[in-house]
Amino acid sequence: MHQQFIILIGIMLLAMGTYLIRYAGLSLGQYFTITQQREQLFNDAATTLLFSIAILSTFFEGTDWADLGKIMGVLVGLFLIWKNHSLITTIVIAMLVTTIFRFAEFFWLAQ
Amino acid sequence: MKYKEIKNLPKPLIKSIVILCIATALIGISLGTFAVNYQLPIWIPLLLSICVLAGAAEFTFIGMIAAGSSPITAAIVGLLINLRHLPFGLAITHFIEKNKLKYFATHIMNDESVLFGLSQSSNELKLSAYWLCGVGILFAWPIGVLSGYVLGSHLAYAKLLGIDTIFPVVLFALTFKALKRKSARKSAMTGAVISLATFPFLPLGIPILMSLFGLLVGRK
Repeated sequence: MHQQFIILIGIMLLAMGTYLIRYAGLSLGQYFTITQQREQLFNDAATTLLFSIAILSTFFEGTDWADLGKIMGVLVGLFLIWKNHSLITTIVIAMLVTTIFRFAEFFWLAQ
Repeated sequence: MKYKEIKNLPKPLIKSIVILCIATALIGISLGTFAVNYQLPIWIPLLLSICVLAGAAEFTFIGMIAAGSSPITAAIVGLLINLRHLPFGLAITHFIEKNKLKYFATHIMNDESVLFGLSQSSNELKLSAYWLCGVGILFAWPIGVLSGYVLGSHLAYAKLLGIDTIFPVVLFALTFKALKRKSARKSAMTGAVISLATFPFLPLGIPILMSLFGLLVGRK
């Protein structure tokens, strides 16, 4: 019970802190006059962060290296995005590639 | 209240937002199975998914407490990961309402809603895309987590099905358009190299923020 109570406090801390971070970003923005140049800089900042998250979550799983299956799936996904395929096609095929790699690995190890 | 604006969104855009919500629910399923594998009670992933609404931080929080770390430490690491919402807020503030709706718009700010919002052409489109995507995820994410938890023991092979491939693929698909601008491309590429290089040395979440140094290159 005691342990669960501390977990509840942890979740509340994370939830409230996250809300405050989000709110701070939105509110601070109002103190800047929005020039085109500045808007573009903020856009670039958001894109840069998201691109890094994409790269890191391709190659890592938590703090461990990701497996080959995931990396291959994402690579195929990237190719499909570049070829302008729809989001759903891209997601399904990328998952399929990952699955094939993992099954292959699974049976390889089972042998 | 926003029904009319949302109805005016282009059909293909609505379709991609719906697909995105389905993909988000699938990732939610993997978080649910993750939690049930560690034998955590259901309220932990569910409360996280409703109150925090930021996937990466929730995975980290659950992974850390499952590994025996203190929930307070796990919360602090989660907050570090969520610091990226600060620049997100700066990027979207010009099209978000200034009235009371702002308090709700704050909660639905996440990677996907920010991206969908920013990639529209006019401020009205940006606002309605942001709301549709944000509210969609607000529902899709906890529903996914709940079903993942319920299906949990039957989905022992969730990982085998490549659910963890969805998140990076979605992010790449959504940033692709923005990367056509030269300054964004230069910043993003440099930023990604910086965060990969610092990843082994810094606590989780910080390497992502380090990527912002890439902006210095993009500005030149």
